[in-house]
Amino acid sequence: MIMTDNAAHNLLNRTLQTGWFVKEKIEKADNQTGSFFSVCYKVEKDGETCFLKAYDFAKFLTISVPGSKIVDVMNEMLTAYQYERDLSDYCKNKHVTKVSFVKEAGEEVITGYAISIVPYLIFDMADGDIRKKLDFSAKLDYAWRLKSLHEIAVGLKQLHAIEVSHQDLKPSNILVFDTNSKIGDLGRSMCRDIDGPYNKRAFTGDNTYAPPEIMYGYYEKDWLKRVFATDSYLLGSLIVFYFTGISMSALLRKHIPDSFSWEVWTGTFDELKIYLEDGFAKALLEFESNINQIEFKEDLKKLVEYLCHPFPEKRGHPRSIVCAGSNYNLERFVTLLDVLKRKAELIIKN
Amino acid sequence: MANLFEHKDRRVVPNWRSFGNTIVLGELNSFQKERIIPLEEVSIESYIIDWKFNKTVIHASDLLSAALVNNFKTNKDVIEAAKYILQNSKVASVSQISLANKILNNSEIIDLSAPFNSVTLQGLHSFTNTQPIWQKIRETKQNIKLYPFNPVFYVELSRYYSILGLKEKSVNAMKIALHLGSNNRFILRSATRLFAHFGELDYTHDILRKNPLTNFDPWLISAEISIATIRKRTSKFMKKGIELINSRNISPFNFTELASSLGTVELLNGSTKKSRDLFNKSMIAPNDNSLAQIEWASQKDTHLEVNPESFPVKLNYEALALDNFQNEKYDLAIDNAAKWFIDMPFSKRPILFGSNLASTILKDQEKSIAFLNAGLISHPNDPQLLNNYAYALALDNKAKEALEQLNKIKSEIPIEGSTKICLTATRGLAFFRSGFPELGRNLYLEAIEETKSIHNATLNWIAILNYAREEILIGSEYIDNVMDAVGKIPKDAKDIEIKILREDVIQAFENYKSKPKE
Repeated sequence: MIMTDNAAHNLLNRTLQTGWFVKEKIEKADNQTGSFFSVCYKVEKDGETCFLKAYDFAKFLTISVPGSKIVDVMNEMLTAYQYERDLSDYCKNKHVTKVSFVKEAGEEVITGYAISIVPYLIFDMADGDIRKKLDFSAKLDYAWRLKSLHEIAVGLKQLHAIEVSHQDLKPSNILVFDTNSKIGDLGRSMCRDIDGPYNKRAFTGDNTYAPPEIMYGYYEKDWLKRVFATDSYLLGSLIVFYFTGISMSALLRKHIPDSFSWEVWTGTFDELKIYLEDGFAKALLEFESNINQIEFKEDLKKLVEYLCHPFPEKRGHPRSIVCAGSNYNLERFVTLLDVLKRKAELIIKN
Repeated sequence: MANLFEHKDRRVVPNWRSFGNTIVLGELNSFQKERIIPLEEVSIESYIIDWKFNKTVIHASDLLSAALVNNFKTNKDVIEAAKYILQNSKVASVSQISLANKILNNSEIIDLSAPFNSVTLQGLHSFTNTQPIWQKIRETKQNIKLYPFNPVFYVELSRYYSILGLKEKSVNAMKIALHLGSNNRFILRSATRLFAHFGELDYTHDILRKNPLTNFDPWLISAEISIATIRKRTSKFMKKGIELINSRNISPFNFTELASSLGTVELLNGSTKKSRDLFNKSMIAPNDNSLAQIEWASQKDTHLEVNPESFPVKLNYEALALDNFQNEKYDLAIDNAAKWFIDMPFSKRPILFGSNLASTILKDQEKSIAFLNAGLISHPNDPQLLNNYAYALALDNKAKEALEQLNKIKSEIPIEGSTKICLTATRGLAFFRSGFPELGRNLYLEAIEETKSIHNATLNWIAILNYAREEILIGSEYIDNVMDAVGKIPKDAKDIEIKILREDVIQAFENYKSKPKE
């Protein structure tokens, strides 16, 4: 049920204090998976059209945990808003380029409602999320896919360089701007230098894309290791999605017998390792069968194998694992995706 | 004479099947009743909204991913999305189509018994064709090339080699598997069976005892106790095992083998009450191994008698064969022995059981030979099987072939005392049937003397009865002497084989007496 009798839903045709004119309500934005607590609009200022995300306090209150105090709920929401805004600023100031940032943040008072304050964030208007662009008919544009993946890997690497872990990298959070792709929705990210609402959680993203260790309840204690291992898996899962249309976790789950699945298994993660390894091997074979262009099969499979290994300690590029530094350094993956992208472009040119 | 099927020796050594079948049997399930960290409740509502709003294949598959990962496979929108993908399969990827099919055909119930329903004894001949096993080996090696660190592939490879009787290769593959992943129930139990199979009990016991998993996994504690019992040692995990069973933290299926192992130890120690209690616990939710064990134990303690068919246990052919045998349903017993062998083609027990039953009770040497031919694939130089093969051939008046089989036995292979006696007697039989009764007689008498020296009355009686039959058949001058010896065999001997052999001898003697003398 969509609740429209609240301030966040009634911004249409208003000129906000920041000068933005609210031109159109977007009933369902592409990258809205999980954004239950926001209402989206198209806004315009100085001939530029942007995307506005208004925080819906009332919705937050209706679906908040029964028994929790309203003040706590409000605080949680405000913290989420502030965190996304501050983190966006933080990243912008640290030369991160491949992430969709908050262009402007503000709040509007709409009188006549129980909760009249509507905090909002304004972003560049994307053409849509990646799902709009992916088409699995016979003509697969590998060059475009690999370019997009390369840009996302660059964005993630930039975030990691400033110790920010995105945690929620998934197709609905990959925004397309003309020919470029950017990472969207920093709302679930974790940053070492900013005290965020989710920093103490083991995983803040979407379960559908969560790595297996999280699903089985095995958590690496070292924060950096845990969150970067998760991001590596999510990047690999994105590669899987670009070529199969399903998530890595779904692909893996398909090849794990029910008795070993995360919803059934009650033993330790260690006891499962061999079965997961077996399922992972089969999942990789299936992934490979989706690659129509033979010249990319091996490299793409390797990328997924390195990035999505079900055990965090084996995840990452083999050379990074044996060298000093983080296993989850994405530099080599950025390079590999760049090489593949150029290879695909050359094939098209020839 | 044929080697006896050793009804008196059975321990709960893990059965070894393919990885896939072992999973389906539930023997690799987690044994803890609850997760340490409970699963978070999640919703896939946002994915459903996305799908409804966009109605594209990619949004449908994104919803299906969410449904599979978060266990919402039966949601009506999910089903609709799966159907949509299949309707638009021309623009869908291989994985999208396959995921949609998985969602729509959600059931993972696999009927393991299906391939066994058509198994007949005649079909055993096909098992002498090793080509399918070699094909499996080639496929497994391909997988190993792709995933050299996956121990499951090495366990499978080891199993295939063991079916072909290639001990060294089988052991090497298993050692690699142990090296790659010894902290795993499937690998440890498979290794236990393999090394027990090849008589390397010290080695496998060492691995089991030292593995940290054995401290808390009931399936491994059970294996350890069984190996310790075979080695005539007291397991240090006995107390731990009893604690686990009584802890109520483990489901009955997960402790069935453990209770059965402990029950066996108590039975052998003469603690009937404890043994019955443990065997009863093992029957709350038995598997094929614990069911076969209680079937075996019921021969020692009739209070333990069960009807294996009253339990919904998959691949229970050993228990059925033993039960059929006890109830004198020999034709059924032999059919189930064939299924038992096909389920575990590296195992010698179903072959000894089937061939012995066919040779001595059913007097169907063709059936016996069918079993032995199949068994000799995995045990090509096994003296027991070669002996039984020669015995069946000789009884079928193929004395020359029988002697050829006996001559195949390699001198460097160590032969157990009772098997040596059987070999001597069988050679005697072959000579009798070749027209050299003097040679045959000497060998039989030698065998009978040896049975006395090892104080094995059953074997002694069987040797005497076999020898008596041969003397009667040639109408020799020693018939009266030999019948005196037959008369000394207790008439209440329980062994069915002795009972039938005696009846045959008496019948042959009657025939001999009624035949007009030349």
